[in-house]
Amino acid sequence: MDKKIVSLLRFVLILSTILVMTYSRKGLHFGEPGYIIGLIYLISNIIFIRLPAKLIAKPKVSFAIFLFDILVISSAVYFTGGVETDFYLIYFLAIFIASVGQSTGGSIPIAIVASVIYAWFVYRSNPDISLLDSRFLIRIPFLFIISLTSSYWAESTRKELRKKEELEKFNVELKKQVEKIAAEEIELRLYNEKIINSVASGIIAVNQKGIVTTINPEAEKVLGYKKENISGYNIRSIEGIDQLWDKIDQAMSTSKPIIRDEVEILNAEKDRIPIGFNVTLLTGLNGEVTGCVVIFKDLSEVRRLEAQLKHAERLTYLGKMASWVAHEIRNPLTSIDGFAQLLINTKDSKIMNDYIAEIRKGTTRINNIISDILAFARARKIEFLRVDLKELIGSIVRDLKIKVVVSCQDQALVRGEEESLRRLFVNLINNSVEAMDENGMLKINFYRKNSWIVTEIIDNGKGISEKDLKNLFTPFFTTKPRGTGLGLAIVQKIVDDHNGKIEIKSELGKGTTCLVYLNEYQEKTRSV
Amino acid sequence: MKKKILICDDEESIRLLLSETLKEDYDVFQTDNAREAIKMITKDNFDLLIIDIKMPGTHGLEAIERIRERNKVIPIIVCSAYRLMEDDVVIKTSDVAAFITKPIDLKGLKTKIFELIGA
Repeated sequence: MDKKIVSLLRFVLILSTILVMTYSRKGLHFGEPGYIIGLIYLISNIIFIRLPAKLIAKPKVSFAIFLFDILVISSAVYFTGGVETDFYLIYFLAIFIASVGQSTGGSIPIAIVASVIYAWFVYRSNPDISLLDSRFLIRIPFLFIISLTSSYWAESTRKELRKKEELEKFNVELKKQVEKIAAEEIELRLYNEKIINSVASGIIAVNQKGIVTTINPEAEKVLGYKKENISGYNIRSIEGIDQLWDKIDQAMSTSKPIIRDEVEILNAEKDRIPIGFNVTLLTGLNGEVTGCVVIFKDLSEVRRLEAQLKHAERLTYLGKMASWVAHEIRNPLTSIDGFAQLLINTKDSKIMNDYIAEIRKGTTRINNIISDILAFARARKIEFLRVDLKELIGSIVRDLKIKVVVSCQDQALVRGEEESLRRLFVNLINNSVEAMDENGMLKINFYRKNSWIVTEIIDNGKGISEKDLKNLFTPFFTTKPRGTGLGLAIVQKIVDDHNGKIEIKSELGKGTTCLVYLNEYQEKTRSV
Repeated sequence: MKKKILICDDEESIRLLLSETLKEDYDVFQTDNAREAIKMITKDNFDLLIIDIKMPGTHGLEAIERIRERNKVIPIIVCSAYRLMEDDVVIKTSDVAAFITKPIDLKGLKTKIFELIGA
């Protein structure tokens, strides 16, 4: 119920009642009952305005109010003799207000009460009139019609108002929700942006056309470009990163991510920068590739440190080598120098020859040491030719005093330099022979594995401890009494020079197996 | 009777050189390892020991310590390709009579031995 409208209508009703009273037979005079009733009625509406809306909305309270209206109007009319006027019209208004103010169920009883009082008034003022008089009868239905139509109208208006209110409420709620979600989304985006921006790796996201959609500050720093010069552009248009683009293209076209790869790029200043990167694919709802994310890191500092470390390692080796060379050479030098000193006072030619032989032994020894150092330390270009390993190893093992079994199903032709490879296998075979006693047996197998020719050297010697296995290829590391510690370091170097690989497995007391992988020689292969 | 000198060096040519140098004036004995040298000195009376430092098996410096536990008087000459300062060789000076480096000045060695034990 709209309190404002009802109170306004009630004022109109009060005014109409006062008018009816004024123009009634007796008229409205100060101090008379009609006057007092009119005053009470006016005050009642002021109280009505003051009443809380909730209280008025209660069906019983509103019914009481409208019943009060009918009774007050009726008594006012009665006391002022307004019966002779067309006062029944006021009932229409009262019933209309009652209909507006409450539901249909509430306005019908009001209409009945109004009809009964009206009938009673008519009867009182004119006892001769029959209740079936047409003038009278014709007015009653109108009271009900007014009651019904106005309450129907009020009800539908109320419904519409309610609907509108609900809709408005719903709209307000919806707006609130939308605003909340929008705020959350902005917050989430900012949060994600913060995460991406705080990552210490460069991050670039591209769509399937190669357009850069995201780039973080670290990526800007590494590439040397500003975000606005990259974001929204095709990654191909960025100069100097072709190698990286090729990798991205490869990842997207094959739908295979790239894990831990490295390329070199040119930054905006045209400096060469090695980068390590991963390419992760972005996929749509149906699993189709929609783009990718490249996470990369500038490896310049790592490379610089690596170079420093290598340099330091080289210096350490150099120091060790210098000390080793000094010691190893001083012994034969002592013989040469000493026997030369003795020669001065020797006249016996036989003794002289013995001393000279000792001097020559010394020079040979020094020469061997120099060869070892050169084999280990010198970087040189190798001319790769066809080497028959079966033949080479056959010539090495021919003079060995232990039992040797060589097995080979096929040819064993590799790309290599015969002299280097001879040194490699002499070193390995000598190690095996030295590890065995007179009952030792050396097995040598050749086989093909992918594009490798694998040479397997198996001995049943004393084996190598786990601790020593780790240091096998370290220069100047030796477990032999008279070893130089360069033998396997030289082997490793020769294998590296040949782009091959070597594995050594061993078990103490059981023996050692060396696997040497060398590239197979193919007729088409030209020397490099 | 000639005085007895023991040479301990794993290099055959060095042993030969020293014995050729000293055999005229002394009875020269030789061994290629430190363990044998310790045994020989414990068993027999030698007047002097010439020993190398870097040898397979027992190290020369360790051998000197062990010999000193058994024999406090025998003069020991260390003969090494190492240099005391260059190669961080730590040796108790009271244990050894002389430290000579390779290559060897044979005349100087002979003089030194003569100073220590006479002829």
